[in-house]
Amino acid sequence: MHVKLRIIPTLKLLAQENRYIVGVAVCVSLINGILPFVIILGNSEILNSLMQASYQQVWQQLGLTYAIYILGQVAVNVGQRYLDVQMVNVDERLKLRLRRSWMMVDFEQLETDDFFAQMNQSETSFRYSGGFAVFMQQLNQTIQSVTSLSVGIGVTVTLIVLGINQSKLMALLSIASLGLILFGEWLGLIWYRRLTVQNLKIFRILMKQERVLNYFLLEVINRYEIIKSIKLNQFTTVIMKHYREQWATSQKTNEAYIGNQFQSRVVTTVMTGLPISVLVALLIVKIRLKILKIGSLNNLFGSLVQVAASSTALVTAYQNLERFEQQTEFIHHQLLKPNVLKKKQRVTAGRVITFENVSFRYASGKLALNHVNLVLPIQGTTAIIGENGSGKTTLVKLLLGLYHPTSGRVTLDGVDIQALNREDYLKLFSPVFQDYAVFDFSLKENMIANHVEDPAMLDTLLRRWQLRPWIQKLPKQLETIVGSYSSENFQPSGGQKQQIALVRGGYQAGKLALLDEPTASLDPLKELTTFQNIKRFSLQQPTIFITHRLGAAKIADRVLLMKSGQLIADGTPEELKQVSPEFRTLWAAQARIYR
Amino acid sequence: MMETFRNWKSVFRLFVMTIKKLVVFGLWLGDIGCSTLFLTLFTLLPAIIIRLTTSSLSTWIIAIFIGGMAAVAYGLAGLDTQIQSHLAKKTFLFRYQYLPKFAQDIFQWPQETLDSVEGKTLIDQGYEAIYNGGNTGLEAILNRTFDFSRNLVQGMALLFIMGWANIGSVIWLLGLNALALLLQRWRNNWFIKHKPERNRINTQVSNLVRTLMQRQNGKDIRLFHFDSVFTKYFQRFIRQLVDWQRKYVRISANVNGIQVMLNTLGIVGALGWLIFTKSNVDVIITFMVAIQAFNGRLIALFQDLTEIGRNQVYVADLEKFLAVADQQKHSGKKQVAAIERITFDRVSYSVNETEVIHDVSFSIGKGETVAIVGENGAGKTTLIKLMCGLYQPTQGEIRVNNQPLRELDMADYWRRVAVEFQDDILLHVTVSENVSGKPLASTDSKRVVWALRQSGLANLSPDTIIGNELDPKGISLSGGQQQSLLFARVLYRKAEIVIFDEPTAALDPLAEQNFYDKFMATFNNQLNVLISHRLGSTLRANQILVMQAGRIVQQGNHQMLVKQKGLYQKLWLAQKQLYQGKE
Repeated sequence: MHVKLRIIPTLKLLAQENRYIVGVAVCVSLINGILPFVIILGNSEILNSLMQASYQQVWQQLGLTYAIYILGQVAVNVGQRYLDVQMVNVDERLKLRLRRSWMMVDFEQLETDDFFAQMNQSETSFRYSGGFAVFMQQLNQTIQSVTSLSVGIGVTVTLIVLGINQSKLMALLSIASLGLILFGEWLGLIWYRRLTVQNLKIFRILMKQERVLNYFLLEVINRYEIIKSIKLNQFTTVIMKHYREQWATSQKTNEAYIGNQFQSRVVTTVMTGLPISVLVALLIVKIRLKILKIGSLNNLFGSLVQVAASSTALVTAYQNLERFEQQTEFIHHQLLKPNVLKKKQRVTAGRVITFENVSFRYASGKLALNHVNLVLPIQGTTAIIGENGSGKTTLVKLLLGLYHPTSGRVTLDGVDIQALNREDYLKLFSPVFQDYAVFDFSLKENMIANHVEDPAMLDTLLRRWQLRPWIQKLPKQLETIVGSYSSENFQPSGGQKQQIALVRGGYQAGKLALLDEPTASLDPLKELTTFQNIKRFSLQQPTIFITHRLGAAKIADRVLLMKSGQLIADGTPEELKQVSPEFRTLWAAQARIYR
Repeated sequence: MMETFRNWKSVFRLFVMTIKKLVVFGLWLGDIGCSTLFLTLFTLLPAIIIRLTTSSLSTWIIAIFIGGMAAVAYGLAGLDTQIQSHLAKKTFLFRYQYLPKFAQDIFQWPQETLDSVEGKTLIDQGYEAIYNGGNTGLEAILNRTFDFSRNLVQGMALLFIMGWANIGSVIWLLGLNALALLLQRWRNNWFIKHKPERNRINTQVSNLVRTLMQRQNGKDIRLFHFDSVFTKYFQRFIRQLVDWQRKYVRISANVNGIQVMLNTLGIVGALGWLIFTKSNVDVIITFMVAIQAFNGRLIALFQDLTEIGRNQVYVADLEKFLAVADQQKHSGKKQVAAIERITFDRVSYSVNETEVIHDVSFSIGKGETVAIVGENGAGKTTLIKLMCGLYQPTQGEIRVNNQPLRELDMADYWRRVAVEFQDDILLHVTVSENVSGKPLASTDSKRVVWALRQSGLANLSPDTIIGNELDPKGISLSGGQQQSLLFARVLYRKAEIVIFDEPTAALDPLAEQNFYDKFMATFNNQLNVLISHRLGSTLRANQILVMQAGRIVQQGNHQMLVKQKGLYQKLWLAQKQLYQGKE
């Protein structure tokens, strides 16, 4: 059946994290499904014995029935304990796997809107569905309900069929009852199926709408550092207006969803009421004809109560399962992707990076680089300058292999970088971008990231980029955890963050340092020292830096001037001053202040 | 227990205030009536059948009569479900109206609360109370309340039926189940006491996940392999969560086990007593059916109480959250006519016993431009936040004209201040709305176009939507374009105080020059404050405040300061050196 096929991937995922959990869950559910019938059948026997007034038998049966029942409950208790703890474990581990898979995604795919939409959607789904723990609950409920349902139906059918061969009338009545019930149930199932389809549709729409509401929460309301500017600029009205529109739409969908869910329950009621009404009449006839004993009444009622309860539970559980499967489509896709590692060439040395007629166009159609040809030996200092939007950062991203050229290629010592082992290639660089992130980890972790700790190197870098003074003032120094969720509540200033990013880049100990606007947030003193350091260490640490500070370009050995995605000037600072009018304009715009 | 009841009462009272009482009351009565009637009919059916089958009535009449009764009973059950559906919609609406209120309230919070850990936790927990659908939070409490009342009345009806048959068994049954209920309370109390601990862990996890989902972090995570650090933290949190769960399950499962025992003992005892006292068969069968149904009701009752107990903490959380916004209404009420002067009089500001701003005094008048310079971490941005009224000084006083700032109506004051911070964002709405900060209906579109032109964004159409991951049709702007758009926002405002915090950090030299030219040309009648590392911006300032370690160490204009031996001269020469001298 449709759902069964899709439950299998989820079960596979669960089994990957914990071998026993599915087995334990199935056992617990089966026992839970059967236990009520122990009581029902036991009680019926007791009733029959009572009618015969054989009291010794009565007490024996009472003892036996309830002893089995208690044993069963003990088993369920033990199993459930295990499940309750392990499901949290499995659930969290699967969530972690999912989040890790986000972190591993290819950079180019990362920047697409589609990927981010999926990521957001899976987080919303997790929140709304309750995660794998709830899946397990629903699965348990389903197995339990199906078990109860089967046993209950079995008992009921037995009651119908008993005595069918006694007389033609009996046979006719029994078959007619069965036929009537089956027909009614079939109609009910159709109605129910239609409701389920509607339910899934509404839910899909609901998830989309909840995602948008989530945007307002995540992007705007929960970005605490932004709220001050929203208050000052009184953006509240605009934001609330858009929010309320979304909210009103979502409200209607929610109501439709609730209505649908209760409709399903009405269907179940009708589908239970029909057999009960028919069967109870049939049973009366059979009792009158002495085909059945009084005890069977208890069997009938008990079983039908169970059947009713199980159907209601099954209906809800089934819908939840289908829904869960729908939401976790993306999760399955991510987690069950086969690991295909293409064999790539290892990088041993690195001398020259070449851009061979490279062009790059964004997915939106915007052309960022236009037939750029460039030979970059990994040595000395190179400055990349140009107006905003001229393609400087794109150039660096292509250099790092974060983007793939739309045409042309980037090579290292003649080999296309796409064919090289990505890890090796990235290790060549120490990059520091403009929009560096400082995470809510310790300062040390923010700087060392994944590398082995080397106190000497760390110390050198802390001194070079001048962090020592303020780190020493912190009570926990390098172990201070950044961010408002730690007790220290340490929020580094803009400049301090830039310094952290510089140390992080340097710690990577790549052959080539790539700095994108490394001093944008630094004061003049630190700015001067930064560029002096870049110059001083240029022998050990070749550097490429992007900057608007044309004065800094002066210290470089080589300057690349970009405009509208093209490289329009390439040479030493003196050469450019003489040859390029664009360079002179940019220079004058800043330098005139200091005359 | 008192706590639970108090919280429950709060929610229920709020709910009752928002609904049409007569309608909901009618629905509630209908729900209870139909469900109890159904259950009673169903329970008495076996006894009725036995009486009728042992009588002399015709088989067919009995069969049809009983069949009809069963059909009527189930009809009632169906009707009951319909009624429940309406009730569920009402509780949903109640919860749902809190969502926009939640959003709106956060915007009114004082900045210090927003910056603090307690504040952020309150927000997270308030969110949990209302954003988790019908299974958790406010809606769950109300739904469970209705369930509880229904189960209670049904249970009582069953008890009555059983008691009428044999009172001794019922007393025994009730006694044991009361014991079971007490255990329930014990478990709930444990949960309430320990939930904040789990909350804290989950908040931290959410924070990390949010960080992961921000687009600009993706680069660094890959370039530096931060994934292993993230994993380490996630795994630590997983261990903590599993430990918590283990402790909870231990108590929960033990309580469950004992409850089951008590329950079983109850049934066995009741049945045993009936058998021992040689009751009638129809009494016994009624009892058997009734006990099964009663069991079901009891379990449901226990679950309802547990869920109400589990969710009532959210009420407390939400109330704490709402209380913060209420506190804010007690801010100042005064308004000034026209802003002529801002004075800082020996202002100090501390955070967590660390002094960030120390004894700062200065004054800015209308038409003046003040530049604030200094090394990183000197306190420049904090000074601005004090000037905006986002923070309150711990010592000293800030005055606007001659009124203390703390006595002013903040909403009015903020309308007259335009600030551009370093970490400002653009919203996923049209360019016009981003510039004006108002809905389109209240936006002066001509002024928007003017502001865009002045900031060098003449090519940007005001109707374009700034894109994000939810809307692939939106455009994305480069860093420089974003900064220019933020400048347009300030231009649009017609504010009396204009403040810029590092407005040209992302701009190329030509755009930077354009900025300064526009700045000097446009803001003539305002009080202008500029923080910048680019000392070129300070040339034409009337006053320059040089800050170091939270103090103002030098004050004056450029010509004066450049000659004094001090920090300003050092900064100036350092920048100049980049352009002229040798290293």
